[in-house]
Amino acid sequence: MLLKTTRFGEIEIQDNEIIDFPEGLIGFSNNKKFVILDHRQKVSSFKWFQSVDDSALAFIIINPNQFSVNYEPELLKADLDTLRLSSINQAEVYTTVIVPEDPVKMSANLLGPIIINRQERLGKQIILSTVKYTTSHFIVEEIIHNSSGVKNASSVAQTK
Amino acid sequence: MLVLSRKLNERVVIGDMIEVAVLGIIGDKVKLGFSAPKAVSVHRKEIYDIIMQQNIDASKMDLAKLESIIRVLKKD
Repeated sequence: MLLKTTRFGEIEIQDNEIIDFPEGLIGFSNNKKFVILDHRQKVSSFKWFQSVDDSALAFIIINPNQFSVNYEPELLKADLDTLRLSSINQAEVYTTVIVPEDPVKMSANLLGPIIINRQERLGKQIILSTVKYTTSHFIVEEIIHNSSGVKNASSVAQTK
Repeated sequence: MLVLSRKLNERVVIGDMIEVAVLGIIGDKVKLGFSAPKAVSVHRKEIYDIIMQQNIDASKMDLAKLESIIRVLKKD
């Protein structure tokens, strides 16, 4: 189908790319269908989370394992059941990203991850009940540290 | 807003499927118990509001913002 978006114009998507969010997102409960799009420059870590119902609604998302090796969102059994998951390990996990005026301070919302069961094409935004994670986790340093540039990683480690 | 007063152990039913019980009252704290279908989430409002505001802020990201991410990560 042809999907209208304000950021990318009209794009062709397959029906099986559409993920159902029966509860929408928090604060966006009427947006119940989304697709995940690659950025045109294919920055592999970052993707777009585009609403199918609202052409203007989209989020930059990232898989938190790209920067946080220890990210382990704990889901309630009720949430796993709603998503028809037997464990979080079967899920695709994303967090929204906010880029402020100074982009070095870009952050990810680790407290409210988006959990997707790709096989069932079902998703939900979960609010974790933990003090371990925040809504504004700075990600630049960790991304650079985890990327292939060994030289850069060591220089970042030294400035700590 | 509907306002009801309940005593300890009294309950409220919302729609057909949601129940709220007053399980304890200690000082200025009320312990509430919730029975709801799995698909209905229950959250402390102040946390819910923080997540909602994050979503609203995150929804304002445009292509230029992602370009700036690429620039920051490429610099090093």
